[in-house]
Amino acid sequence: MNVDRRHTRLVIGIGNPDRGDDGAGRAVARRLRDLGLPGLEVLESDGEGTSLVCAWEGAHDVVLVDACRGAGTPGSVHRIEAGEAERLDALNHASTHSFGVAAAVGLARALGRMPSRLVVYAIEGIHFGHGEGLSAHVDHALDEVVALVVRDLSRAPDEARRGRRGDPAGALRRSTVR
Amino acid sequence: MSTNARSRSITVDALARVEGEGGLSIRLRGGKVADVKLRIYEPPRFFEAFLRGRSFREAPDITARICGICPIAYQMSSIHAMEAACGVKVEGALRALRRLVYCGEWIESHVLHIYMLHAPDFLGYESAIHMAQDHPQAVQRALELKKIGNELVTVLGGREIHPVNVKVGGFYRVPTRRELGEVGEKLKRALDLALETVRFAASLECPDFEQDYEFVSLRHPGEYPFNEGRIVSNKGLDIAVSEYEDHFLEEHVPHSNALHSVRRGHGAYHVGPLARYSLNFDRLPRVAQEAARSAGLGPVCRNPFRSIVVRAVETVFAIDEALRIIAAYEPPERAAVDVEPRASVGHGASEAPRGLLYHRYQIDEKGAILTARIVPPTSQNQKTIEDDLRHFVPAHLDLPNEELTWRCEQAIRNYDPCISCATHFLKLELRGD
Repeated sequence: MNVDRRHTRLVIGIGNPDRGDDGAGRAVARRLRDLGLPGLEVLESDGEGTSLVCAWEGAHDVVLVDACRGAGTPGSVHRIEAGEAERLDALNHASTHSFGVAAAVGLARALGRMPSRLVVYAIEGIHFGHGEGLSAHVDHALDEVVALVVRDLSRAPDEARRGRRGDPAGALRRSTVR
Repeated sequence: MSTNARSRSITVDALARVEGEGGLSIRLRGGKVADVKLRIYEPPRFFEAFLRGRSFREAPDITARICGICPIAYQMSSIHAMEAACGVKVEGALRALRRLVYCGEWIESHVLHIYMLHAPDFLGYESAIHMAQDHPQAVQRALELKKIGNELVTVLGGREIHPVNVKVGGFYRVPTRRELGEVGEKLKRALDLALETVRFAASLECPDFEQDYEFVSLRHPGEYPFNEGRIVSNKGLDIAVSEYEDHFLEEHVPHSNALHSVRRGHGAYHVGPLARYSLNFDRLPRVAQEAARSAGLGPVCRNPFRSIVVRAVETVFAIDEALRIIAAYEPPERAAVDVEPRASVGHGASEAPRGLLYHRYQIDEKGAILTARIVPPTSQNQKTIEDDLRHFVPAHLDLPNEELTWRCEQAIRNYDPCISCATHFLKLELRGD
């Protein structure tokens, strides 16, 4: 089945809901799905890199939402564009796979399979042990992340890029939105 | 970093390209290997404890969460153990569908390992991404193959991650012939890609290194093993799954978090593709046997570096088997057989992509789980991996530190170790006295 996704706006919530705050990305995805916005496709993924590259195949505008560690205070939210390679690398993807978001982007680039626009929202988590359930810090950040993603996806690409010409080698904390 | 000939110290922050994190410490004394400590696996004790008090019907869903890359293996081992406990045997189309979903998982897991985790070692690349820049076709092939494996798992498992459709007694829903036919079309293409993968793997240069392993796997009278059979070895073992604990035990290793699994009275043993292949070559379909021979393999393989070729051969098998099952499929009248609990103990073993996965449960008359024991393949291989390194390193001491470190990592990755349960962050230390 070949679906034309050239005009698709796609959100992929990434993580493992059985490992505490690693479920943040997928919790955001579920809230976005419940909004039922037209033209918005929402997927969930465990973050395995090759399946991410396949999941965004043909999509024009992609937002990934994931948990991270070591980027800021618990519950802080970080917006990273695909071109900011060093900040992407600095994300410590709290998943059980060594081939996560940063690797997926690198792989897609090497294969010419990057979407026109790709943005990553990373939410700083604090608890990643066994068990379902988000920490209070992360739980309180979800609605705001949902709002930011919706705003991001409703902007035209030029508008989104304006004002983001920062120093890509800057610290991960730059562009912290919350 | 010291370059004194008698004293060598190498540190690598994390063992890359295995599932999860892990580390290795090797100590040399006077040019000989004095000690090897491998800490890459933490047993799923959380899950064994968490299962207590839960219903026996929940075991597949709970244990599926132990491993992100092989949930089906955990589901199958737990399901067979519970069905054994309750005195139920699933046959016919439901049995075939179980093999079919397992085919999907083998395809996904093996392809990921061959191309993304192991091939970079052989070709001298730091990562699959670097490799993709120079070998885009190979990596595209991997993505396409893995996607087809994933579709097979999804059509049977109901969801891409943590399949929910599998249960004690069978399935919640069985697929239609048309649903299977659709993925069958893609599997035909996948077979070509898998044969290409065998050729690709066979072309990789690998060290000449063989060990006299005790191979352990399931063996079945009529098929290459997935879910059923006796547990056999190439050194005289031939037992029912229910006798596993009479012959294998786990020993605590004082210096590490590792548990060493040994065969009583024998020592280390080797599970996984090399073991399955060497014990069951005659059960492979002709297309897989021919691919193996073209790749320069005989019916037995004792070189762990050639496991990458064996995984490719198993991928060919899994696709061929899937096509065979799909062609013969007639949807059963019921998606599952009834299973009623009784107070008993049940044992189950299935062949996860990485090797033999053993489960044992004790349940009460209402089906509540009293105790659980889960022995994954990677924990059974830890001692063997250490032994490999102990034998491998001395012949390569002439290599500069960086290259020797890389070779050691490659040797560990021969076992496709699944260390997703490991939470410890460890280093590779090659220290000389």
